[in-house]
Amino acid sequence: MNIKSPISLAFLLTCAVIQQLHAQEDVVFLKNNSKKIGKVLSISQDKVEFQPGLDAKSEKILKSDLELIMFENGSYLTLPSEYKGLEGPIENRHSEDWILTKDERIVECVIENAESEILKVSAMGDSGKKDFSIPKSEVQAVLFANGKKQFLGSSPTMISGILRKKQLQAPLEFLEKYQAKKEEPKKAFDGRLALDRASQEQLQKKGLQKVDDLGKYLNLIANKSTEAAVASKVVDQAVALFLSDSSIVETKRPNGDRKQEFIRNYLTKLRLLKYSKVVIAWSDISYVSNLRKGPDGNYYGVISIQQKFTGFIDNKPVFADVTTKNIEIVLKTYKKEVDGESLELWDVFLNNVGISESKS
Amino acid sequence: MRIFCAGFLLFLLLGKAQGQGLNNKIGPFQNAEFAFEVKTIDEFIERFNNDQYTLIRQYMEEKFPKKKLTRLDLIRTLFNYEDPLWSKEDALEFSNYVLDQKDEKFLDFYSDTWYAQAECLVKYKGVPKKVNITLQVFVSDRTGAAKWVICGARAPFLDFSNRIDSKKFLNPISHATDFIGLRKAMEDKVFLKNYLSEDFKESHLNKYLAALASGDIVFEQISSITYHFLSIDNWLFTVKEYRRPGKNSGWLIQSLSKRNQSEKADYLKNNLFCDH
Repeated sequence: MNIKSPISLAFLLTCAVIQQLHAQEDVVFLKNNSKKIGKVLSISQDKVEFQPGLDAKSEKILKSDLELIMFENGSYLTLPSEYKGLEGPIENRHSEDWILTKDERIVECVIENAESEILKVSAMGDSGKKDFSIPKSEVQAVLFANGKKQFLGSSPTMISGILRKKQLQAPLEFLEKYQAKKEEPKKAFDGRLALDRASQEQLQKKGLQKVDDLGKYLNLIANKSTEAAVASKVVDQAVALFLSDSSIVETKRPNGDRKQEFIRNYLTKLRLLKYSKVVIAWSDISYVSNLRKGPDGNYYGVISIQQKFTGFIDNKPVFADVTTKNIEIVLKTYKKEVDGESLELWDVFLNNVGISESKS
Repeated sequence: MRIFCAGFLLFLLLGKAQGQGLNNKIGPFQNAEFAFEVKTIDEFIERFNNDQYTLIRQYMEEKFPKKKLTRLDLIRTLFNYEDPLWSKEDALEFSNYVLDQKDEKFLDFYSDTWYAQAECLVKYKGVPKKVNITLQVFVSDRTGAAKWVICGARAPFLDFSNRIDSKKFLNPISHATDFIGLRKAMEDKVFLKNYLSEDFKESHLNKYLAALASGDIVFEQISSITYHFLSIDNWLFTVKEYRRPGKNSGWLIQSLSKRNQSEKADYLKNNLFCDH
């Protein structure tokens, strides 16, 4: 395959890693109402290179034949799209779940359960957790932040149109009429929450998404097949997930001693490992603590997750260990000027990474 | 009367890790261990308080939907069962006390009656030494924001000599000579205590901070942490991290004992070295 630029290589490698970590795949919707499932390899001015299966031969599809591409990581591309040179990874993922309404608008919320005909939903509120029950027949589609999707009978053309317009509706404005009457469970002490439960869950989800991103970047950085220039850019992208360059990562030496390194140093040293390839995978369950307000106004929490590290030499696994990582997450608010108006926005960053346990 | 560690939870807790291959997946058994492991003290507090959102509850509801986890079940998962420093009788009595339907007891992260004690490795004038640093959660009344603050430290190698020599003192007329004997007293380091008031209370934390500020102590790393919970009336328990395979792992109750208020005050002073 012709690798045209560092960005495209990073994109392809990311795709490869994603394929390894998740069973989900990219879906390409054609104008003739058919769809193809597999992996998008590259996107050029007029064509999309697509691999329908792991061992299948890639094929090129004219962009003019396409309606919509839904990537496995939750990104999407509506067509026709404005071509801006070589297209790299699509960076329009949403950290919240989306409901696409019959009014062709988008509602951000947290989908608690979408298994039955009733969607169980919660949303950011100014006080207390608010739950909602919405019949699926009253929405167009559900797009989850993790890339899963339910079109609920709507055509890709309709979905594409809504995504292209991207008109966000205030969650409570849409959800209000579906408020569930919920019997409060017997009181279980939950500390002094400064954020309501729905907000906590939304933020925890965003933190987990960043941890997932970190895993993908670690794989790219550590693999010898990644070009040095690409790895350097990926290090920058990985560092950007953290609160600052001074975030610390704890590692364990072979003699059991613990060592602390600044995140950038840690990532750069990953390149020097003796393995020709490493695979870093996370467990599919994780513990996320409540968020607690700090004196600086930021909120702090921790994600505990198991990480399996496998080192390969000549494509043979020669070392593997499982460690529990405790990753601090920080909810940081910041101000941004938009159209002359000062908006208070927030984002979740990773901070110090501790190691709690090692099982070789 | 229920036997303290028996039945369903025992079966789950005693599971051991299987050997791990070199494949890339984290298997279901490791996931089970991970779900049971008490990964942080936050999770310990959540389980103790029967929090409806804690991971173990979600995991059990998914894997064993017919089993309804009680608060007692959750509290049982918080004890260290390998070489425990607690008795079954005390554990049962403690659980009954905490679960008293008329007055259930909970742990509060924001309370000032629990402490973290970090055993730290330092270098004192280039020589490796150990220091215990005690921390507690401080909550601002104004903003509700929380932070950990150091409330005590103990560096035994900085202790003053306790030697007493009745012949060594500043005599009652020292003022008349503009305390000419003070210089000699300050050079008499072994017997410094002779020149102090009998009410003198040394602050271990102050001594540690002074040595840190002067550069005599250089902090190296934390070697272990113990949490001390003094918040449940008449009880005191410590929590340590047990790093081992199996479901009975993570932050678990190491010791449990009955202590009244006065005994807790002594504990705070003599074990946690808090300058309150």
